[in-house]
Amino acid sequence: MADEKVSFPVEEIPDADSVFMRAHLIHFSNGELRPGVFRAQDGGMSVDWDKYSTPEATRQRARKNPENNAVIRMGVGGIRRIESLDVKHSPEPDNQAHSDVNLPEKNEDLTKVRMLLGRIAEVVIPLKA
Amino acid sequence: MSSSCLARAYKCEDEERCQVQAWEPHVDENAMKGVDPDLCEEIARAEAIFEQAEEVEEEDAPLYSRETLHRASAFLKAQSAQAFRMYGAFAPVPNIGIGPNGSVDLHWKKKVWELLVNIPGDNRELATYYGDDYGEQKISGSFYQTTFDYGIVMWLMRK
Repeated sequence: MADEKVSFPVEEIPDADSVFMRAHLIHFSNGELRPGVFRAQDGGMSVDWDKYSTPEATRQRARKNPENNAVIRMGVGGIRRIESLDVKHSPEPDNQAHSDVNLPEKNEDLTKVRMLLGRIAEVVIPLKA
Repeated sequence: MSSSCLARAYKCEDEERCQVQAWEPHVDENAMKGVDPDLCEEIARAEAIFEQAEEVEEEDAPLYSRETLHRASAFLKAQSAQAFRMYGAFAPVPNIGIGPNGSVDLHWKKKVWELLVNIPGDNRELATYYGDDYGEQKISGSFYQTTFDYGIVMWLMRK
């Protein structure tokens, strides 16, 4: 049993829900969130579904220096209204909340959606002064 | 702007950043006007911030390269000089930030419009941009990194 990992079922995320995401201090300037924070890793942009996470839990999942991160919230319906974006639940053994936002591969489209994502992102844990 | 002046704008990247003496002895008055001191300040700020990039947790990804930042800076100086030549005033200064995949973002966020230009990490790729006035008017496209984009200059200088 030592190496056995829990697998969580994949669920459909309703439009009315939200997702959290860390935003490192390097992605802030003059107190404003910058679009560079929106980037894909391993195929999608990692976020945490608020059904299974809190802003603080999302912040603490940073691999390095959680205190250097703010946390932002985005409405799932708002994300889905941007171009062809979608939010899919993709739970991991140690994070049931884990989900992915599919970002476009084409640079021109990516530039547009990153700017538009910035308009629906709300900072829920600000950077520490 | 003459092509020689344009070349100077790019050559500046290999010299002391925006220092007047870096342009001597070939500097002329027009070239001097083409360098916005506020833009130079932002470039200096970006260089300092980018040094912190190594702390970001995506340590496996190439967050940026100094060469990409220099390309972005050269583009901005060239655009600024072009705006000065066309309008007699410098273009608004963007925030220079880290973009995805080793790219650099140039981001203008104003009350009545917003524009994002992305300079890719690969100098062979086209730069891309998107902007709008939070309403119906939009601008988008791509361009070679070593050229001006007059559409962007005109968008930046709109009232």
